[in-house]
Amino acid sequence: MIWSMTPALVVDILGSSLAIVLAGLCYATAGRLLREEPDNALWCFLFWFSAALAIFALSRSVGHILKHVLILSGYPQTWKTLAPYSGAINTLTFILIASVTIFFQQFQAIYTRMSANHAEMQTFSRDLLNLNRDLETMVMERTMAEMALGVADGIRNPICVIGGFSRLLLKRLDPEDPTREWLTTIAAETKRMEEMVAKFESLAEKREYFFAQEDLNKVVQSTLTTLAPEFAHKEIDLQTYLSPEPLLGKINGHLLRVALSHVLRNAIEATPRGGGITLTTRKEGEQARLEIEDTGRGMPPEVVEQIFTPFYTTKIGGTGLGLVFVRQIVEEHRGDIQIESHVGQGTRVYIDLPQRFAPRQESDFRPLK
Amino acid sequence: MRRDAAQWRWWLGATVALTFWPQAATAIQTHGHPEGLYAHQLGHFFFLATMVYLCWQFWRQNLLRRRSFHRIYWACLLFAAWNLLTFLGHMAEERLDAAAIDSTAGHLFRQLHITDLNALIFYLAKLDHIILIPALWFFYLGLRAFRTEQREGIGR
Repeated sequence: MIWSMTPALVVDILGSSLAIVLAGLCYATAGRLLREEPDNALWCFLFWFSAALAIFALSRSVGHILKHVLILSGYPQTWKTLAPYSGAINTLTFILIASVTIFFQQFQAIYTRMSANHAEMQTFSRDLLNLNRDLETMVMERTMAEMALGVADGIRNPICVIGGFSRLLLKRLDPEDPTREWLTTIAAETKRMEEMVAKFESLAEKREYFFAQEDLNKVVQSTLTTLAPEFAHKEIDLQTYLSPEPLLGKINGHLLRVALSHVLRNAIEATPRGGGITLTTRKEGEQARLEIEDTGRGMPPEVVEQIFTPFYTTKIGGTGLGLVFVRQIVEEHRGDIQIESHVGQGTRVYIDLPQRFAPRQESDFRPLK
Repeated sequence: MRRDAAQWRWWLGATVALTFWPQAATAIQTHGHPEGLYAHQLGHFFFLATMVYLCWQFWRQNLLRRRSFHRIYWACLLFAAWNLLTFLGHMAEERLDAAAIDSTAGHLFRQLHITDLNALIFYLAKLDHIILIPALWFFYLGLRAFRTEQREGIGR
């Protein structure tokens, strides 16, 4: 059987030309992908793969076309000289493509991790914004209440004195006295001012909106339920010792849950797989104490010292704001947070919610100085 | 400074000695003719293996449900097939009888005597662009699908 080699030659020349065009288009498209997102690891891989492919297509196709051109134009010897170089370059391009390809898994792993981190950062930023907004509103309410009480406290006594004496004078004054009208006006205006003081005082009651009567134990339990998958994922032995009596108080359950979740997540992160975390709540005199102890790697004293400094972080990609918010939330409850840590032994976090943890009295508010 | 000058003189002496009184460099191995072909064939094999590996990675990471990866997957399969064909083509060319190709009518009108499977493989391997071009085309379509997904924010 005799077959003509002409179709093979035509396919070779046309195919080689088309390969250059297609490889060029691939390179240009991959370049555009990378230019729009230079940090995207997948685009980076595709760009390098396309570049290797373009070098391969160009060197191979030029070699093939040159071969036919040289032989057809009567220079077969020249092609014989050039052929080994063309073949060697082709071999190099195969190795180049293969070398880029074996890094795909690494590129993909980086890309997946980056995407996950990006999504996590977005969620975290949104949570942080919401938390910040809640805290700002709380601080504003507190400031308003304190200012109102400060003003009320400052003018209540003089107004009472003026009002009391003006009313006394009115009783004693002769009904025909021409100053009686003036005294009546003073007494009426004083009465109005007394009413204003009462209104200022009632502003403090608005804090009820943010603080409701809740049991700290229930806040702890609901937080633990939310975090249960994270404990299970790391096979952490969680020991909970909750106070048998309810730790009722006027608290902001949502914010306290956020603070508690953050502290617990830190503990989970620091504790090795299979380690233990102990959570205790108890009443200590006028205080409710929440204690979280982990068996993690612990922190050196210089880190503990700066733990509440804004933007101070030892985590890669951390914001350094988490514990700052935790402290602010605890302080908004007029509480206190303390951290003890020993390298290699673990960390213990104490959150004390003092007597104000009980339903707050109006007198709890300190006038602004 | 004196130490530098001494070192420089030592190196100069060694260079002159090695230049004018050369000895056999027994550490260097001579590379014969077939090594080029073997290296090229190994290159094809390496290329083929990594394309199969890439396909496996796409499948393993469940990426094939995306149109972009699906097209790149097909491109990789075709590249692998192309490497297999050219690998066999090079082997067939080595074994091909010189008399099997008749060039009396010139390079443009050469004829091949297909007498066995080896000659047939050689002929088919000469038409390798029939696989290579679709492979490149699928790769290009895959990249274009990635561009569309990039604009639509898919895969983030």
